[in-house]
Amino acid sequence: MTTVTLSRQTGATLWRNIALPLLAILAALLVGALMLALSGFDVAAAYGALWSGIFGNARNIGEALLRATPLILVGAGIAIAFRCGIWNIGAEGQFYMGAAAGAFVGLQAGALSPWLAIPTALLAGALCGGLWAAIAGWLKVRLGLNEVVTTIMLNYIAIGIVGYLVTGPMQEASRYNPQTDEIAAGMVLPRLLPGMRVHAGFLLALLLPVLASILLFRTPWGFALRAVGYNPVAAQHAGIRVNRQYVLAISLSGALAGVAGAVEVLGVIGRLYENISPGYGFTGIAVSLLAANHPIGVIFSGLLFGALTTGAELMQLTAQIPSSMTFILQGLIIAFLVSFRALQGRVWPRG
Amino acid sequence: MLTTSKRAWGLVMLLMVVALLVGACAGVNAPAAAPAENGAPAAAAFKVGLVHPSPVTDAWSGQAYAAIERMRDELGAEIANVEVGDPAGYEKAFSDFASQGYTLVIGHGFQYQDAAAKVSPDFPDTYFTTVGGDKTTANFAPIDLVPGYMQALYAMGVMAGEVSQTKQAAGFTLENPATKLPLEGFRQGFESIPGNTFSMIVLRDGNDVGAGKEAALQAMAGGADILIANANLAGDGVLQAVAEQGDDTVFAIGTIGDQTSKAPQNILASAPLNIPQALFAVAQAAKDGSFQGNSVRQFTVNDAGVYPFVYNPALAGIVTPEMQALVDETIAKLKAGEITVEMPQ
Repeated sequence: MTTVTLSRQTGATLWRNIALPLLAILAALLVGALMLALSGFDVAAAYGALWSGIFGNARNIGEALLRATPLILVGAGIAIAFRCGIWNIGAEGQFYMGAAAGAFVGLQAGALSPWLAIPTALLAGALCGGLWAAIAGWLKVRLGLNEVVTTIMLNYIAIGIVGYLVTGPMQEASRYNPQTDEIAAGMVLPRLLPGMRVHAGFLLALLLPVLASILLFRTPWGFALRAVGYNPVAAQHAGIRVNRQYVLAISLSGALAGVAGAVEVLGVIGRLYENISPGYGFTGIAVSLLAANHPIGVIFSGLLFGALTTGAELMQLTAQIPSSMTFILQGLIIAFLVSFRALQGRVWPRG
Repeated sequence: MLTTSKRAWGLVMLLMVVALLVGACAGVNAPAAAPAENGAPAAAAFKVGLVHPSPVTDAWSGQAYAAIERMRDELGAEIANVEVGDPAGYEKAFSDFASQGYTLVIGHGFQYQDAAAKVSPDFPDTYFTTVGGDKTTANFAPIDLVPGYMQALYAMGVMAGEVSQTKQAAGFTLENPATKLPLEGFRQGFESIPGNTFSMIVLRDGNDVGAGKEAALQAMAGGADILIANANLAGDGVLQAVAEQGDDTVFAIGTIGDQTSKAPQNILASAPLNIPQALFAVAQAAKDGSFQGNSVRQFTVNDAGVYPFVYNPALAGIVTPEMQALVDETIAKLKAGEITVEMPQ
């Protein structure tokens, strides 16, 4: 596996990390085209719609950036956890906790200056997501419970908590639908460009992965974290406090997912209700894996998945291609990438 | 080893070349397709777009899909649907449809109302509706099925009030007006018969089948012999309790869909909610230009076919033709305004 090299990535590795995903995308589009053709769809019309759904006009490009925002944030968080060798499958729940915290602050702090209230809401999201993830980290290091199991269970609990909040204490004043009231207009994240819905949250999606990358690859703490991921026993013998790294890594991972939740509430949805995430926490895993768990790479894979989502919606709408085609394409990209990486290991041995 | 790698790379290169070709084809054709879409006469065709939250094989979204299929078959509509479960995509889906000249865009769920309210002012030539919601604009009217459902369950209440021996009924619902209000209608119908009392039990969790069952057992022990639940899966627990108590003097009324199969020996009748019929009525209004904006489209029993009843043939001895005639008579009075169902508080 080239993904666990401790040294900073060499030019050749970087090149391969860019070339192989591109190859995988092309191969997936090819197989997707075959499947569409065999199912009797007009491939040119379908891919034409996919293309114009992404690049057709400025608005669509803005939509792709908008849809990529939560995926990048969640994916960057997952990359940190995976680099440390802790399997955070709980980003979905952490996203929900962050969304709930963001909505809570958004509803309460409307009277404050946005310069104070918005950062507070985002920080609250990060804090709640991080603490929620820390539970799984604590259970792992204290009780030896497998984090895959506990994070999945914590997902259900978090989704349940949001369900309770929007039908109970946080339900809208009219109590008609299971949702909160809308947050004050001043709490809504400002849009970046006229004619596009992409908002200031996207800047966070560019900034935070860069910070995560610096942390991982340019600081002693990041070195320790990756050392634990590479070989926890060796790291222990080298004097690294392995358990502390695990808890810190998954908390940071959860904090990023929590920020994503708060950003979605403040930037797009404007309130909290059940099912606000279409599975960002799980798509984020694919986004991170596609980027070889590199936070900078996650920006690009997140953009790809965001673009595929918007493009596929127009493909559904104009060419009547079923929505499952999006998932098939995403799955194919990952399947091809994994095979290409395995192939590369044989063709292009390390060392 | 060397030949293997060469062959492997050869394969990868081949994949890439073919994929590039396909990609290029798609790219070349894209601009050609776009003007054709834009050039299509927007006003001439009747086009209906549907935005739904889950695959159309799912029961909830399937209802809406069935509705637009009927619009295609009976109203000659051009139809298209898009599954958008991601709140970030709601607005775009609405504006994509509207900018392609769609006459009517349906959002299948209350969660779409914010997006419809935001997008609709930009597209005055397109009508928007959502199933549930209370926001409106000049060309956006959500549909509200609750008023008619209160009336329909009022009629069921009258029938159940005649059947009940203990003169006690219990209703099970959730803390949510859209779920709770229909049972208020049932209460008024049931209690329209002197001496009858109805008690409402609000369950905490609509997914907790066990809690529904427990609450139903308690109500039956307390003497209720008519049970009605409008509480999602917890309601199934109520019907389970009724089906399992083994006594043929306790009965239930089905809600939302035909629930006869859940307690075949005990369900007197079901009062399904025909959402496709309601959507179809909205599409007809959009087609003939009678679509009303700036208001919630409230359905009542006067809207034909939206609130049907399904009687259980196994209990024809209890729900006799006379009993069914009583229901019909009650509905007629509700339609004529001789009986009105009051909103609580």
